[in-house]
Amino acid sequence: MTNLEKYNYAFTSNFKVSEDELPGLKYQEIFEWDSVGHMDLIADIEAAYGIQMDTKDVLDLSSYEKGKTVLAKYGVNFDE
Amino acid sequence: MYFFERNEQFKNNIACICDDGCEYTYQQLWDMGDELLEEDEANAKAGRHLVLLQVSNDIESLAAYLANLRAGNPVILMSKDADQSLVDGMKENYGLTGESANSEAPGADKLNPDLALLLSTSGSTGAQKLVRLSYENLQSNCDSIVEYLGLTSEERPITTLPMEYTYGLSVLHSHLAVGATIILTNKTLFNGEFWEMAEKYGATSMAGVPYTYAMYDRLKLTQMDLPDLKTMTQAGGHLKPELQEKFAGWAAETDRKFFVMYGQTEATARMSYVPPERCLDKPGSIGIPVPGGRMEIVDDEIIYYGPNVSMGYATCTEDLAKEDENRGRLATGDMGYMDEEGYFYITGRKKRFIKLQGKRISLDQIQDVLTEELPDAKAGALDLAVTGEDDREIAVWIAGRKADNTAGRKADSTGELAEAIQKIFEEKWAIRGRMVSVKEIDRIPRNTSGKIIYKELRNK
Repeated sequence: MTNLEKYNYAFTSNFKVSEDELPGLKYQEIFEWDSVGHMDLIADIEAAYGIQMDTKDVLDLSSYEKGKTVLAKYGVNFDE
Repeated sequence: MYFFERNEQFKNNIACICDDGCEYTYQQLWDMGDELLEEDEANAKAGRHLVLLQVSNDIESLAAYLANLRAGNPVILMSKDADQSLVDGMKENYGLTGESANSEAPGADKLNPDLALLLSTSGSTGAQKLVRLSYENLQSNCDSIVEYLGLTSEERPITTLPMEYTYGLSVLHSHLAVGATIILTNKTLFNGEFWEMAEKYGATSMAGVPYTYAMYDRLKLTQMDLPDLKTMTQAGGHLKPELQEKFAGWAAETDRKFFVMYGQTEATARMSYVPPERCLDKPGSIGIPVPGGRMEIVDDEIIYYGPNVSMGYATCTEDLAKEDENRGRLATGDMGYMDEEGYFYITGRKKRFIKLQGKRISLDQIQDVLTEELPDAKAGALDLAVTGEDDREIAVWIAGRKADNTAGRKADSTGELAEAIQKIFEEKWAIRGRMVSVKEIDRIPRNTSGKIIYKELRNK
């Protein structure tokens, strides 16, 4: 899987949304992405890229788009 | 004087700091409540009557709730986020369906004079079975909590639990009783604003159920710079030993207090607590009874006695007139023992209840509903059983009852059934699908009298 595919899969598998619903998706906007869902999402993203995110970044990952910016800091390149 | 009518004593104290940064004194909170009551003309005419309030951690919810307590109106609390169908079901069940609900609501003649509050035991799942709590229940538990936590007007708790949940509500009650300042927020732990508020307004305490502590742990709370944070409380189920050790150790090292506590809605909120200085050497214990309470073990079951034991349950309007049926004695349904120092421990539950993210859920009820909702199960072609543990995945075991039914079953039809089951969990109990695993087996183990042998399923 490419980095983007891994990223998208973390969302689609946790929140039961399709890929075309991902752009613009925000924390607490859907029932599945509540605080419990956020814990699972972060755990899956960390496992997918083998990283440990800082508290600030866990909080900043508040939308599908923001997550990409956050992960860039950990060297995740979405063009690969 | 009840905790909800102490505005004279505390009128200039700040009662709440809200999400928008606005501060409200106890007098302002009181006045806002009066205005909210007066706005509703039907309410003024109705006299004492039953009220259903949908609440969240905001100033209007708190003001309206306190004003109704003052007015003597028994309150059913539900979440603002509750599904409309659940709210409608509750209203219908308790006679709140009139065009102008308040004017036709059950009145003084149908309400026990002591009845103050009606809470669901299962959090936001909308079960219509409610616990009947009296003014005396609320006040006595509030007094106990103030005493064992040593609360003063200097406290500034930040809300981390829903207001309609007995533990969240008890945090509000006990701090209003001492004229403290509540940082009242609907922000979640994963909103950056939550932590900004905690820091800016100097939160002194935080509460949490086990899952909240998993979040505190993920967010590395113990490494945050929150010098005013002095007290952490935990209830709502058994905290994993490693988390208890971690937070108790951190508290001990940093001159903070960590309270592990035990309670049920049936006892207003809290029944026992572990004094923080004993937290590290009494791991897994639910502690000693709260001041004013007493506990004993009868036939391996924990029995609690105290003025905070509820009046009983209500399942229909007629029950609202009922007298106190418990008379200060509660069989908790938790099996356990007491050690030589008088500390209590829970070993299991008498009935098949589990706690999932702070909500109490009956596995038997889930089983019944699934059997009713799944066409194959209702028709007798599918046998099923539900098992689970606190804060773990719930397992639904399914087995075709007829040989030809299972033989032809394809993998994808099991997938469809699993989806249907997960959908029922989401709709009926707001339990997310991925907390549910559907497992197909050859047959559900039953004994000769047809009872499911859960032990065998758990060992699979």
